[in-house]
Amino acid sequence: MCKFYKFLYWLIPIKRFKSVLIRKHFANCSKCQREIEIEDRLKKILITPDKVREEGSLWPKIKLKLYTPEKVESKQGVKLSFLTIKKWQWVLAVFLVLIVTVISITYKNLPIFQKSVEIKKDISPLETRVIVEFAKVKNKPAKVYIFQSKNRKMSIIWIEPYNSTGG
Amino acid sequence: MEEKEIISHCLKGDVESFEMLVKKYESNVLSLCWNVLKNKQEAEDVAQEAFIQAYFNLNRYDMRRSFKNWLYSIAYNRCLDRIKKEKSFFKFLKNVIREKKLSFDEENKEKRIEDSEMFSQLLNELNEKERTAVTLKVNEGYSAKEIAEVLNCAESTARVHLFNAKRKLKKMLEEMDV
Repeated sequence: MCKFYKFLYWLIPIKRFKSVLIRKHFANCSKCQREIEIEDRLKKILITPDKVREEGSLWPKIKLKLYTPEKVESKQGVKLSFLTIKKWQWVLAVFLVLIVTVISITYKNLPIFQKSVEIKKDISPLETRVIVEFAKVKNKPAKVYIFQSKNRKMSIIWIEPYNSTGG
Repeated sequence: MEEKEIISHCLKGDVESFEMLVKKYESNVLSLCWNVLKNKQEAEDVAQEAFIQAYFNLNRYDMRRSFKNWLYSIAYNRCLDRIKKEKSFFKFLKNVIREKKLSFDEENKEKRIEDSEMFSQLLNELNEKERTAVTLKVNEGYSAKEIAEVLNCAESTARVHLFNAKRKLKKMLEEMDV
Protein backbone atom coordinates (compact mmCIF):
# COMPACT_ATOMS: atom_id res chain seq x y z
CA MET A 1 0.00 0.00 0.00
CA CYS A 2 1.22 3.54 -0.70
CA LYS A 3 3.08 5.10 2.20
CA PHE A 4 0.77 8.10 2.59
CA TYR A 5 -2.31 5.88 2.86
CA LYS A 6 -0.49 3.56 5.21
CA PHE A 7 0.10 6.55 7.46
CA LEU A 8 -3.52 7.65 7.14
CA TYR A 9 -4.65 4.12 7.99
CA TRP A 10 -2.49 4.19 11.10
CA LEU A 11 -3.85 7.65 12.01
CA ILE A 12 -7.57 6.87 11.75
CA PRO A 13 -8.85 5.32 14.96
CA ILE A 14 -12.23 3.92 13.79
CA LYS A 15 -12.30 0.60 11.95
CA ARG A 16 -15.20 1.50 9.70
CA PHE A 17 -13.35 4.56 8.38
CA LYS A 18 -10.24 2.52 7.94
CA SER A 19 -11.99 0.00 5.70
CA VAL A 20 -13.59 2.80 3.63
CA LEU A 21 -10.18 4.36 3.17
CA ILE A 22 -8.65 1.08 1.99
CA ARG A 23 -11.51 0.24 -0.36
CA LYS A 24 -11.47 3.71 -1.97
CA HIS A 25 -7.71 3.75 -2.29
CA PHE A 26 -7.45 0.30 -3.81
CA ALA A 27 -10.26 1.08 -6.27
CA ASN A 28 -8.31 4.04 -7.66
CA CYS A 29 -4.60 3.20 -7.23
CA SER A 30 -3.27 1.08 -10.08
CA LYS A 31 0.05 0.51 -8.30
CA CYS A 32 -1.61 -1.08 -5.28
CA GLN A 33 -3.95 -3.08 -7.51
CA ARG A 34 -0.94 -4.55 -9.31
CA GLU A 35 0.71 -5.37 -5.99
CA ILE A 36 -2.33 -7.33 -4.89
CA GLU A 37 -2.63 -9.00 -8.26
CA ILE A 38 0.98 -10.16 -8.13
CA GLU A 39 0.59 -11.48 -4.58
CA ASP A 40 -2.51 -13.39 -5.70
CA ARG A 41 -0.61 -14.86 -8.63
CA LEU A 42 2.24 -15.83 -6.36
CA LYS A 43 -0.17 -17.50 -3.99
CA LYS A 44 -1.37 -19.63 -6.88
CA ILE A 45 2.17 -20.56 -7.94
CA LEU A 46 3.93 -20.95 -4.60
CA ILE A 47 3.34 -23.92 -2.32
CA THR A 48 0.93 -22.73 0.35
CA PRO A 49 -0.02 -24.51 3.60
CA ASP A 50 -3.48 -25.22 2.14
CA LYS A 51 -1.98 -27.12 -0.79
CA VAL A 52 0.26 -29.09 1.55
CA ARG A 53 -2.53 -30.06 3.95
CA GLU A 54 -3.73 -32.75 1.54
CA GLU A 55 -0.36 -34.48 1.62
CA GLY A 56 -0.85 -36.33 4.89
CA SER A 57 0.67 -35.88 8.32
CA LEU A 58 4.36 -36.00 9.14
CA TRP A 59 3.63 -37.12 12.69
CA PRO A 60 3.91 -40.94 12.27
CA LYS A 61 7.48 -40.63 10.93
CA ILE A 62 8.45 -38.02 13.50
CA LYS A 63 6.99 -40.12 16.30
CA LEU A 64 9.02 -43.10 15.18
CA LYS A 65 12.20 -41.07 15.35
CA LEU A 66 11.32 -39.48 18.67
CA TYR A 67 10.95 -42.90 20.27
CA THR A 68 14.48 -43.85 19.23
CA PRO A 69 16.16 -40.75 20.60
CA GLU A 70 19.64 -42.19 21.15
CA LYS A 71 20.34 -42.51 17.46
CA VAL A 72 18.99 -39.09 16.66
CA GLU A 73 20.83 -37.42 19.52
CA SER A 74 24.14 -39.07 18.71
CA LYS A 75 23.75 -38.08 15.05
CA GLN A 76 23.02 -34.50 16.06
CA GLY A 77 25.98 -34.52 18.42
CA VAL A 78 28.35 -35.51 15.66
CA LYS A 79 26.92 -32.89 13.36
CA LEU A 80 27.10 -30.14 15.97
CA SER A 81 30.66 -30.92 17.02
CA PHE A 82 31.70 -30.81 13.37
CA LEU A 83 29.76 -27.61 12.71
CA THR A 84 31.30 -25.74 15.64
CA ILE A 85 34.41 -25.21 13.51
CA LYS A 86 33.30 -22.93 10.74
CA LYS A 87 34.62 -22.92 7.21
CA TRP A 88 36.52 -19.64 7.60
CA GLN A 89 38.20 -20.98 10.75
CA TRP A 90 39.44 -24.00 8.81
CA VAL A 91 40.74 -21.75 6.07
CA LEU A 92 42.49 -19.46 8.58
CA ALA A 93 44.09 -22.43 10.37
CA VAL A 94 45.41 -23.92 7.12
CA PHE A 95 46.66 -20.50 6.03
CA LEU A 96 48.55 -19.99 9.32
CA VAL A 97 50.12 -23.44 9.13
CA LEU A 98 51.24 -22.69 5.57
CA ILE A 99 52.77 -19.35 6.59
CA VAL A 100 54.70 -20.95 9.46
CA THR A 101 55.95 -23.72 7.17
CA VAL A 102 57.06 -21.27 4.48
CA ILE A 103 58.84 -19.04 7.02
CA SER A 104 60.60 -21.96 8.64
CA ILE A 105 61.79 -23.24 5.27
CA THR A 106 62.84 -19.83 3.92
CA TYR A 107 64.58 -18.49 7.01
CA LYS A 108 66.35 -21.55 8.27
CA ASN A 109 69.27 -19.40 9.41
CA LEU A 110 67.23 -17.18 11.70
CA PRO A 111 68.65 -17.15 15.25
CA ILE A 112 65.36 -18.48 16.59
CA PHE A 113 65.89 -21.73 14.72
CA GLN A 114 69.60 -21.91 15.56
CA LYS A 115 69.49 -21.25 19.26
CA SER A 116 69.64 -24.88 20.19
CA VAL A 117 72.60 -25.45 17.89
CA GLU A 118 74.49 -22.52 19.39
CA ILE A 119 74.00 -23.76 22.89
CA LYS A 120 75.40 -27.07 21.83
CA LYS A 121 78.44 -25.26 20.44
CA ASP A 122 78.92 -23.46 23.75
CA ILE A 123 78.81 -26.69 25.58
CA SER A 124 81.18 -28.46 23.20
CA PRO A 125 84.09 -29.42 25.49
CA LEU A 126 86.79 -29.14 22.84
CA GLU A 127 86.18 -25.52 21.90
CA THR A 128 85.77 -24.07 25.38
CA ARG A 129 88.27 -26.11 27.30
CA VAL A 130 91.01 -24.05 28.94
CA ILE A 131 94.32 -25.83 28.98
CA VAL A 132 97.31 -24.53 30.88
CA GLU A 133 100.37 -26.50 29.85
CA PHE A 134 102.60 -25.12 32.55
CA ALA A 135 102.75 -22.32 35.08
CA LYS A 136 105.58 -20.80 37.04
CA VAL A 137 105.62 -18.66 40.17
CA LYS A 138 108.95 -16.98 40.90
CA ASN A 139 110.62 -19.26 38.32
CA LYS A 140 109.35 -22.39 40.07
CA PRO A 141 106.66 -24.77 38.75
CA ALA A 142 103.27 -24.01 40.29
CA LYS A 143 99.91 -25.73 40.83
CA VAL A 144 97.11 -24.73 38.43
CA TYR A 145 93.41 -24.82 39.27
CA ILE A 146 90.81 -24.07 36.61
CA PHE A 147 87.23 -23.27 37.55
CA GLN A 148 84.58 -22.97 34.88
CA SER A 149 80.94 -21.89 35.10
CA LYS A 150 78.30 -24.38 33.98
CA ASN A 151 77.73 -22.71 30.61
CA ARG A 152 81.53 -22.40 30.30
CA LYS A 153 81.31 -18.71 29.55
CA MET A 154 83.51 -17.77 32.48
CA SER A 155 86.78 -19.39 33.49
CA ILE A 156 88.84 -18.67 36.62
CA ILE A 157 92.47 -19.76 36.64
CA TRP A 158 94.13 -20.08 40.03
CA ILE A 159 97.91 -20.57 40.27
CA GLU A 160 99.85 -21.14 43.48
CA PRO A 161 103.34 -22.36 44.35
CA TYR A 162 103.71 -25.96 45.51
CA ASN A 163 104.85 -25.04 48.99
CA SER A 164 102.11 -22.46 49.70
CA THR A 165 99.37 -23.25 52.17
CA GLY A 166 96.71 -20.77 50.96
CA GLY A 167 95.78 -18.65 47.85
CA MET B 1 -4.38 -26.73 25.68
CA GLU B 2 -2.34 -23.58 25.18
CA GLU B 3 0.92 -23.63 23.26
CA LYS B 4 3.11 -22.82 26.25
CA GLU B 5 1.37 -25.50 28.25
CA ILE B 6 2.05 -28.04 25.49
CA ILE B 7 5.70 -27.01 25.41
CA SER B 8 6.07 -27.46 29.17
CA HIS B 9 4.50 -30.93 28.83
CA CYS B 10 7.02 -31.78 26.11
CA LEU B 11 9.84 -30.53 28.31
CA LYS B 12 8.74 -33.03 30.92
CA GLY B 13 9.22 -35.78 28.32
CA ASP B 14 5.65 -36.15 27.08
CA VAL B 15 6.19 -37.01 23.42
CA GLU B 16 2.47 -37.33 22.68
CA SER B 17 1.88 -33.63 23.45
CA PHE B 18 4.34 -32.76 20.75
CA GLU B 19 1.87 -34.23 18.24
CA MET B 20 -0.37 -31.21 18.78
CA LEU B 21 2.46 -28.86 17.85
CA VAL B 22 3.38 -30.95 14.82
CA LYS B 23 -0.22 -31.08 13.60
CA LYS B 24 -0.62 -27.34 14.10
CA TYR B 25 2.49 -26.29 12.20
CA GLU B 26 3.37 -29.14 9.82
CA SER B 27 1.72 -27.65 6.76
CA ASN B 28 3.35 -24.27 7.34
CA VAL B 29 6.80 -25.75 7.87
CA LEU B 30 6.44 -28.15 4.96
CA SER B 31 5.31 -25.43 2.57
CA LEU B 32 8.27 -23.25 3.58
CA CYS B 33 10.72 -26.13 3.04
CA TRP B 34 9.08 -27.04 -0.25
CA ASN B 35 9.37 -23.49 -1.56
CA VAL B 36 12.98 -23.17 -0.45
CA LEU B 37 14.16 -26.60 -1.62
CA LYS B 38 11.86 -26.85 -4.66
CA ASN B 39 11.48 -30.58 -4.06
CA LYS B 40 8.65 -32.30 -2.22
CA GLN B 41 10.56 -35.35 -1.01
CA GLU B 42 13.42 -33.34 0.38
CA ALA B 43 11.03 -30.84 1.91
CA GLU B 44 9.34 -33.65 3.82
CA ASP B 45 12.66 -34.98 5.08
CA VAL B 46 13.83 -31.55 6.18
CA ALA B 47 10.50 -30.69 7.82
CA GLN B 48 10.72 -33.90 9.84
CA GLU B 49 14.30 -33.14 10.84
CA ALA B 50 13.26 -29.64 11.86
CA PHE B 51 10.51 -30.92 14.15
CA ILE B 52 12.83 -33.49 15.71
CA GLN B 53 15.51 -30.86 16.28
CA ALA B 54 12.92 -28.55 17.78
CA TYR B 55 11.76 -31.28 20.16
CA PHE B 56 15.27 -32.04 21.40
CA ASN B 57 16.11 -28.36 21.77
CA LEU B 58 12.88 -27.20 23.38
CA ASN B 59 14.82 -26.32 26.53
CA ARG B 60 16.63 -23.64 24.50
CA TYR B 61 13.39 -22.07 23.27
CA ASP B 62 12.75 -18.62 24.69
CA MET B 63 9.08 -18.54 25.72
CA ARG B 64 8.87 -14.81 25.02
CA ARG B 65 9.50 -15.42 21.34
CA SER B 66 6.96 -16.78 18.89
CA PHE B 67 7.19 -20.58 18.72
CA LYS B 68 6.19 -20.54 15.08
CA ASN B 69 9.06 -18.18 14.18
CA TRP B 70 11.50 -20.29 16.18
CA LEU B 71 10.34 -23.39 14.32
CA TYR B 72 10.58 -21.58 11.02
CA SER B 73 14.15 -20.49 11.74
CA ILE B 74 15.11 -24.11 12.53
CA ALA B 75 13.46 -25.31 9.31
CA TYR B 76 15.16 -22.55 7.31
CA ASN B 77 18.58 -23.48 8.69
CA ARG B 78 17.98 -27.16 7.96
CA CYS B 79 17.08 -26.19 4.39
CA LEU B 80 20.34 -24.27 4.06
CA ASP B 81 22.26 -27.29 5.36
CA ARG B 82 20.50 -29.50 2.81
CA ILE B 83 21.22 -27.09 -0.04
CA LYS B 84 24.92 -27.04 0.88
CA LYS B 85 25.00 -30.83 0.79
CA GLU B 86 23.03 -31.07 -2.42
CA LYS B 87 25.29 -28.79 -4.37
CA SER B 88 27.31 -31.61 -5.84
CA PHE B 89 26.49 -32.30 -9.44
CA PHE B 90 25.59 -35.97 -9.13
CA LYS B 91 23.05 -35.37 -6.42
CA PHE B 92 21.50 -32.66 -8.50
CA LEU B 93 21.23 -35.08 -11.41
CA LYS B 94 19.65 -37.71 -9.19
CA ASN B 95 17.05 -35.22 -8.03
CA VAL B 96 16.12 -34.22 -11.52
CA ILE B 97 15.51 -37.86 -12.45
CA ARG B 98 13.51 -38.49 -9.27
CA GLU B 99 11.45 -35.32 -9.75
CA LYS B 100 10.56 -36.30 -13.30
CA LYS B 101 9.53 -39.77 -12.18
CA LEU B 102 7.35 -38.40 -9.39
CA SER B 103 5.61 -35.87 -11.57
CA PHE B 104 4.76 -38.53 -14.14
CA ASP B 105 3.40 -40.83 -11.51
CA GLU B 106 0.87 -38.29 -10.29
CA GLU B 107 -2.58 -37.78 -11.68
CA ASN B 108 -3.43 -34.80 -13.87
CA LYS B 109 -0.04 -35.05 -15.50
CA GLU B 110 -0.11 -32.05 -17.80
CA LYS B 111 -1.45 -29.56 -15.34
CA ARG B 112 1.01 -30.57 -12.65
CA ILE B 113 3.98 -30.40 -15.00
CA GLU B 114 2.93 -26.96 -16.15
CA ASP B 115 2.55 -25.79 -12.57
CA SER B 116 5.82 -27.27 -11.39
CA GLU B 117 7.67 -25.81 -14.37
CA MET B 118 6.41 -22.34 -13.64
CA PHE B 119 7.04 -22.86 -9.94
CA SER B 120 10.63 -23.94 -10.42
CA GLN B 121 11.27 -21.35 -13.13
CA LEU B 122 10.15 -18.61 -10.80
CA LEU B 123 11.97 -19.91 -7.75
CA ASN B 124 15.18 -20.54 -9.67
CA GLU B 125 15.48 -16.81 -10.09
CA LEU B 126 15.64 -16.31 -6.33
CA ASN B 127 18.25 -17.31 -3.79
CA GLU B 128 17.38 -19.19 -0.58
CA LYS B 129 16.92 -16.06 1.49
CA GLU B 130 14.68 -14.44 -1.07
CA ARG B 131 12.64 -17.62 -1.44
CA THR B 132 12.15 -17.80 2.32
CA ALA B 133 11.29 -14.11 2.57
CA VAL B 134 8.72 -14.22 -0.20
CA THR B 135 7.16 -17.45 1.13
CA LEU B 136 6.75 -15.99 4.58
CA LYS B 137 5.31 -12.80 3.10
CA VAL B 138 2.86 -14.50 0.76
CA ASN B 139 1.86 -17.47 2.91
CA GLU B 140 1.91 -15.89 6.34
CA GLY B 141 1.68 -12.19 5.65
CA TYR B 142 4.82 -11.68 7.72
CA SER B 143 6.32 -8.23 8.19
CA ALA B 144 10.00 -7.50 7.53
CA LYS B 145 10.63 -7.67 11.27
CA GLU B 146 9.19 -11.18 11.54
CA ILE B 147 11.04 -12.31 8.42
CA ALA B 148 14.25 -10.94 9.93
CA GLU B 149 13.61 -13.01 13.06
CA VAL B 150 13.37 -16.19 10.98
CA LEU B 151 16.33 -15.38 8.75
CA ASN B 152 18.34 -14.20 11.75
CA CYS B 153 19.32 -10.93 10.10
CA ALA B 154 18.59 -7.21 10.45
CA GLU B 155 15.15 -5.92 9.59
CA SER B 156 16.59 -3.75 6.84
CA THR B 157 18.32 -6.79 5.32
CA ALA B 158 15.07 -8.72 5.34
CA ARG B 159 13.40 -5.80 3.60
CA VAL B 160 16.10 -5.88 0.93
CA HIS B 161 15.60 -9.64 0.38
CA LEU B 162 11.87 -9.12 0.08
CA PHE B 163 12.26 -6.19 -2.28
CA ASN B 164 14.68 -8.08 -4.54
CA ALA B 165 12.45 -11.15 -4.58
CA LYS B 166 9.37 -9.15 -5.49
CA ARG B 167 11.23 -7.22 -8.17
CA LYS B 168 12.52 -10.41 -9.79
CA LEU B 169 9.15 -12.18 -9.56
CA LYS B 170 7.28 -9.21 -10.97
CA LYS B 171 9.64 -9.15 -13.94
CA MET B 172 9.30 -12.90 -14.47
CA LEU B 173 5.51 -12.85 -14.23
CA GLU B 174 5.30 -9.99 -16.69
CA GLU B 175 7.58 -11.85 -19.10
CA MET B 176 5.52 -15.03 -18.74
CA ASP B 177 2.35 -12.96 -18.97
CA VAL B 178 0.55 -15.05 -16.35
